[in-house]
Amino acid sequence: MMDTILKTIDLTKKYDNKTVVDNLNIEIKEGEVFGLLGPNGAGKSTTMNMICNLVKPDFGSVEFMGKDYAKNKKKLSRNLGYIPQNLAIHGSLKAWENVELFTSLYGIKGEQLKERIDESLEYVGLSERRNDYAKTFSGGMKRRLNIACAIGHHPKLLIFDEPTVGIDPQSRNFILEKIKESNKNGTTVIYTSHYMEEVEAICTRIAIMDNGKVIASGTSEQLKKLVTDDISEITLEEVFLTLTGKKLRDL
Amino acid sequence: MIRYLIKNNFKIMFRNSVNIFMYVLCPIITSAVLISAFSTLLESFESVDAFDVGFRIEEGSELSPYIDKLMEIGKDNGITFTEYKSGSPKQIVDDHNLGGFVEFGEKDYTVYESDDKEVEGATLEYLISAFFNSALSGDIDDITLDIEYSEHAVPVNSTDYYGIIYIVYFGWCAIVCAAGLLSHEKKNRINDRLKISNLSSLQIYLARLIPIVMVVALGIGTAAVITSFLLGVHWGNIVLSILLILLMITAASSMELMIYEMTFSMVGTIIITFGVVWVMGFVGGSFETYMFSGHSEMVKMLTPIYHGNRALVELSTMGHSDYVVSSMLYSIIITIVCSSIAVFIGSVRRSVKNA
Repeated sequence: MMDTILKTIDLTKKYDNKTVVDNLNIEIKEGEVFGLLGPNGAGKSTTMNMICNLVKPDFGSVEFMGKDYAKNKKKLSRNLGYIPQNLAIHGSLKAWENVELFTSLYGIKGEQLKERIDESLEYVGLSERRNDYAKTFSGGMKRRLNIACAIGHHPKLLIFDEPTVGIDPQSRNFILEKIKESNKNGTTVIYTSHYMEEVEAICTRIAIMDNGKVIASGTSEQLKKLVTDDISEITLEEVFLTLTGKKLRDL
Repeated sequence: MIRYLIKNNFKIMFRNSVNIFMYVLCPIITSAVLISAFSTLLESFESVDAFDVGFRIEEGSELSPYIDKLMEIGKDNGITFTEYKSGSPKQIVDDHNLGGFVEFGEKDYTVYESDDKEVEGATLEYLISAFFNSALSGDIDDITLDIEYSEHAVPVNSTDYYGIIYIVYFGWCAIVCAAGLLSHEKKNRINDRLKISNLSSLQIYLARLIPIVMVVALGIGTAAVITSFLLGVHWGNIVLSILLILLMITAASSMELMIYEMTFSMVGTIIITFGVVWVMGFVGGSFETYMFSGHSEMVKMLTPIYHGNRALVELSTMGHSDYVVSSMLYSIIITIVCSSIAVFIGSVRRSVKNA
């Protein structure tokens, strides 16, 4: 049986008296690719931010590798990799310099750092462009570099926050393949996206959030069965719309 | 651990062409323009001694009660006032070889200067302006005025003065160097990446401060070398001058990073910084020479730019300055206080958000 790598315990966050995340309890097992879905404003980003200790919960806690993450961040942060939705890279640095900067934040230096830079750039297919400035890259290449900057310290848990926004199908496919490859090599992944087919393709378990709560979770098939017995007739997107409704959320 | 962060932040700032404009071209251009514009203002500084001025006072002038005291203070400073009842002021100045002429009207006064005696004219303007500033704000009997140049100041030409002063002035605008980096970090949420790692607030602060100081020092150092060769600016004790400038850049960077941590807005930081530095420069001799400025000595002494300007100008002209220590102390105190505040605010901001 797989060990739990991350657990949220009664995680709650309110903004201006509006509960954004409401008593959230999710458990992610080692080796899983866990997909977190939800319409805009469902509380996904706040949940991610609380998991990464960027936002303080009003109530509840995050347990990472069996310990309270907020209290043990110094020891545990090296095991966490975060790929933000924003392109958190420097355009005026070369590709290898970006990876060097962000990998070194975890205490990796010298020869080991050089090896990790090579390895990370190789992993995202940017070895040949290592000496080019990030500002000269296409959108897809920047996304790949964004990933390379988060994996150099070999985290046990990788959190992807909509990593395929605004890129071409080839780049998207490349990123998804790499996520699967990472997972095969033992990395646990939390993945959020609005692209249902992506989530269906790579996630071993999916949770759908709405109004700050998980309203359904399970494998893709289990979620489909919540809506119909004939799962070949329904897509994950239809399940999502059935469960969360068709009303626009960001009016 | 922050070695790589410092190195890469340095590269980001160093590669920004705005910094070449700000710290190399701007000091050179500003110095060259002012040196050229005021080339004669300080030229005869050394030779100025006692001189005569003429004056005329309109009947019923509200300034009449002050004239005797003004003449007394003028005499103490080597300026002799002689009354001329009639004639054109310009003609009187030329005919009697005067340093200037003052016409007191009902409520105001006009100073006429000789084209050949600009320094005497400037000195007369300073004396009258400083006198009436004091007279109108206090008891006339308490007024004591010393014209700085006659007792303390040293001969300096406009080349050395403006060549040095604008290196200092642009050094105080250090935050421009990091504007691109800081706004990019904020916009693209790179701060979140830094926060997720194990870096402390102090480490993040140092990883910004050190490269800012390095890049600004490199920029204005280049400007200083170029103005030395092209414009003939003389620096005094090179080692001491470099140390003073480095300390001032560190103080400026600390103060401006503190403003950034307080506002968390680059635009706000630039506006506040430019405002503060402009006022400090205005009082401290960056625009009008501190020798002739009418600001009170106390206000000048409160301004770190004044201490820096004076120390460096005196090092250039005399080879020593009583202001070296005060300038260094001022810079060190600003650095310690502002850095402490900036790190504290940064740690509060970087401790997990509540909202």
